[in-house]
Amino acid sequence: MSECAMEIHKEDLLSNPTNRVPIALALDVSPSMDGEPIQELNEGVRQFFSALKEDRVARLSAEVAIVTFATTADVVLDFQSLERVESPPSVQVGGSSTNLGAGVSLALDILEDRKNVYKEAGIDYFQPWLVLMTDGQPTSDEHLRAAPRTCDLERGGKLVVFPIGIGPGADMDVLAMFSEKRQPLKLKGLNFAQFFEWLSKSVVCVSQSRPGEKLKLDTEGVKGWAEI
Amino acid sequence: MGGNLTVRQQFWRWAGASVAGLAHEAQGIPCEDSWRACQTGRPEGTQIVAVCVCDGAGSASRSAAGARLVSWAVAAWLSQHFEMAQSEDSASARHSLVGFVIKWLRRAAGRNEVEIAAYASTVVAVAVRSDGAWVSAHLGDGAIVGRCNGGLRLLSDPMKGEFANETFFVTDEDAAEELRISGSRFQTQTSKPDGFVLFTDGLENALINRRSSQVAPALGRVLDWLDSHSEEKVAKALQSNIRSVLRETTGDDCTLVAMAMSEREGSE
Repeated sequence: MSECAMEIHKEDLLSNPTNRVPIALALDVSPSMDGEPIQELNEGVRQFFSALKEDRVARLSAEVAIVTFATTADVVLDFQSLERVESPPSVQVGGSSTNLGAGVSLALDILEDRKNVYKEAGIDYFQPWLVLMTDGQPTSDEHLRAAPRTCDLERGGKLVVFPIGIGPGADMDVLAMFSEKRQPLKLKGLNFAQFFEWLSKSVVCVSQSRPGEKLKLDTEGVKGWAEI
Repeated sequence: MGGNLTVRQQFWRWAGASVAGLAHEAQGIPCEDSWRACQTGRPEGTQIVAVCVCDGAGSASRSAAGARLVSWAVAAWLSQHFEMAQSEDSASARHSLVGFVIKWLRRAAGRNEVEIAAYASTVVAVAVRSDGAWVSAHLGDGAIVGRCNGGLRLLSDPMKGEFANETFFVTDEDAAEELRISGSRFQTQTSKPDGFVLFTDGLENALINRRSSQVAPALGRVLDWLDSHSEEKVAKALQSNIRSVLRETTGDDCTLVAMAMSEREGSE
């Protein structure tokens, strides 16, 4: 055998599914979000999907679900491969109250379901992310049950939580109940686009992280969209 | 009147390579993988070869040094304590091995005034004896494949946490409890592997199917090379194949070491 015969061919290798990053967006669609806020939010979400799809790894790794909450909580888009989502559905304002707790609980439930799907399929995955965005105050007590759930998961390293307030009416004290590690941040004006751009970069980072690496967020980039 | 009796003697040969991942290369970060082989000969003619491949934790400040130190310490310990590693008291072996590694890491950490966690590294190691007996020590991701009766088998699969970026390191508090020791004494199959391949997690995706435990045919080729070429040539070929083909499948550092049993004529 000659030395030049010592070659490995691609057909002699195997492939495995890309590690997944499940991200649940829990979005307030109560009537106070009507008008420019909901339009900017929808535009930000669209850009978020586009940015993820443009990245070589994130487009295979990131899976995004959208939960909306007002009087009730609904799954507007369930987890699936980004390639199957041509364009994310626009969320619509509705209802007459802000059941923030129901939105968070539903988002946590579908994140849990998705992890089980990964486990059954033998797909490795990163810590799930929950992005919570609201412009008001909860109108029921359900958040008092949902908040300890997110904190327990976060404490156990099983969830990454981003609580984000929109506008002057957002109750930052309530948002602070959902994370012990991360202070809630208030969006600068209606800078949804900058926020989702930052979020997509963070997802790209985690989708390429290797065992033993900790999640490092671009704290400098936060200044582009948050009031600090 | 009598001459020397010519007999066939079995012995182990090995070759390996470490290559920095494309992501590390792009960022100017050196390879944080390392590997080491230690060979000892016994007075009765028995040969023991221990090989260890290590992946330094990406989050650790001295990961490259950690992988170097840990691969050396583990290979040295296994080559000196082969029988202990095989003994029924695997708890003693696990604690002795981890204790030996930590002792050396403490010295390095003390000199550099850092915590030993700065040297966090995984451990993927195999020690073999010339009679074919073997023992492995494994902590964290990476894997060990064996060639038995011409077929490839996953002998030790990656040890991961729930999430893809979670693994185990020798500097973890419970490393001695988590260390997985396996080997010929622990397994019921009668045939002993005549070849092993050890690799770090950068190569996992291309070389094993996580769900079915299937092993890539490429590893059979690598062991065939070692059967018929010099170790130097195989090491060169590994370096070149990792660089040109295997690391295209990952951004991570890649290390692969192959060991194969050979025979030669000897006299008694």
